[in-house]
Amino acid sequence: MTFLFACLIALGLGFFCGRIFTISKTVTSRISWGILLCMIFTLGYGVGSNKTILNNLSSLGLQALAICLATIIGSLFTVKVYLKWRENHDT
Amino acid sequence: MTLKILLAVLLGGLTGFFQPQLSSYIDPFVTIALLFMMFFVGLEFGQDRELFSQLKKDGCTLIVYPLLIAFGSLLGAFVIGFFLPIGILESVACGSAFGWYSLSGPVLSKMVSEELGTIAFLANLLRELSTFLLVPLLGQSSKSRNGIKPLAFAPGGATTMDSTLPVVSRVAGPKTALAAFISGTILSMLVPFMLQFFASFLV
Repeated sequence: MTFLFACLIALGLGFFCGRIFTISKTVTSRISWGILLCMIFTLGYGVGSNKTILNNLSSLGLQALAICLATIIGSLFTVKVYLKWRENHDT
Repeated sequence: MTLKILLAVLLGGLTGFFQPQLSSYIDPFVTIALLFMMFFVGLEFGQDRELFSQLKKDGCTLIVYPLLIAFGSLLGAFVIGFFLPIGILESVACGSAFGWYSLSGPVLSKMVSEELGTIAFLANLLRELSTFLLVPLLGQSSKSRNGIKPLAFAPGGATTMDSTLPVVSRVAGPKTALAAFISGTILSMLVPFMLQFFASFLV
């Protein structure tokens, strides 16, 4: 909960800085891209350092993969149906 | 872009495997990195002056997307549950985290079983990882409505609030990023309730 508040404060701070100063877009996108790569590195680190997850990766992983794909396809499906419906509705 | 992301995951995985003792240094780093990321996301919103006048115009439609994404995820997990040994309700419980692996893993392993917790962790971790790979593919070609490309952030679920937001913003632009952030925030708020709700049937 404290972290969520900290995130919102950081977001708001960034927003007001963006309103007041103009910083080149290439600079900000390069920095955020760097931070993003670091975050993804730590994500991989979390999996690689956890022995229980590594040992069960193959047996549980297949079911997890199935659920993962099903949720992604399901979400894409409902949004796609909505877009199609709105498209027909508009015209 | 996708290649660099894959490389970062692999490098992280290898480092974690050979140097697991570093994790105490990495945890606070993640917190700081996420806060910096939030700052830069805010900066991007702040610099785009047309963004908010447009948000006022179609604010209502932005709430539709997270609801559609939530319904689609649960539907997908329900259907695939028929074919999995863990069971239908268990599958739906895993799917109801919408990509928030760090919450769903511990909650389900504590409330239901270690096994389900691991599956939930992996399923949602994979969802976040595949979002990094799918967004660049979906973001450029997909259909847009009112300048927003909902298909670009639909796979991300709750993760488009923070971790996968920079990819969405980079590929589909700040307007889609704002919609993705709102969608991710609403989905993230739903996750704790969803997990408790489905887990209560499984105890």
